[in-house]
Amino acid sequence: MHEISIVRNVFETLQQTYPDKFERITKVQIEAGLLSNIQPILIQNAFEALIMEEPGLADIELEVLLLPIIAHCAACNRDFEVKRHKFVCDCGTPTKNIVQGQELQISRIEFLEK
Amino acid sequence: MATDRSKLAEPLVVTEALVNDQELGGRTIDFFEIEWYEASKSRMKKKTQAGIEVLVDKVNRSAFEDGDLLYLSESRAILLKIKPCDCVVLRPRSLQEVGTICFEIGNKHVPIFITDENEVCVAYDAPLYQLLQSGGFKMEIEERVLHPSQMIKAYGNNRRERAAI
Repeated sequence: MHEISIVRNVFETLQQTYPDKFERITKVQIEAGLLSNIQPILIQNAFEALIMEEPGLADIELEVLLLPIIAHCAACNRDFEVKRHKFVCDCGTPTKNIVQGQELQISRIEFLEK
Repeated sequence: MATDRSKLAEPLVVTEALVNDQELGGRTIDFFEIEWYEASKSRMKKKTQAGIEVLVDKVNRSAFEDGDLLYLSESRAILLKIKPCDCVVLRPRSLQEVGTICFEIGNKHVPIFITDENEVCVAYDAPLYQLLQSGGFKMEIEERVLHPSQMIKAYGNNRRERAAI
């Protein structure tokens, strides 16, 4: 529901960070953890809508990578993937110790070579 | 007919799906795999299963469908494959239940898919699953391919036919 403002913010951030190279961006990758409350389809749709508003972005690919939830089990001292939001290790120990899954970040930018 | 691009360094540019009315027999079938939420993307670059780099740069904004023919040469065909994902599958027993389910899901702005078997499908999302569970709806979590043609659209669906529920 807040994806449009997120996509706008991503490109505003890139414009501020790379004022000289922004025009040469070909791909932006966003990592979104499954706990980040982000729907990738809404990010993609928001980006397509933004292109209508700013056609200069049409040559950029926006890729959303969904990151699985990884938690740490103190009993086993190991990380495990949380599937379908069941925060319970194979050993049966529940955990709240989240290692990965809450991220929402620009993880990769590709530029056109000069 | 196009030449085989499998050995070239430049990406193969695809601007739209080709008309798939030919026998593909005798050709190497290769797959360009995407996530369900990428079908509407107007631009993307990925490698096929066989390692050929493909740049999709659509001339129109129509969504790809699972099985779309993207490239055809004398020796090779590249087909689009939408990866299956965990889905919440609901089997409503009445039109009223369809309405209630779609209202609950629609409130989260998540796309809803209605299959040929009149099931309501939505990509698995834990908070949504819990919300529907608390509403007493009967549902399963199943691995499915979400087909863009089955997506409900506010401005009209492009499904050719729809059985009555």
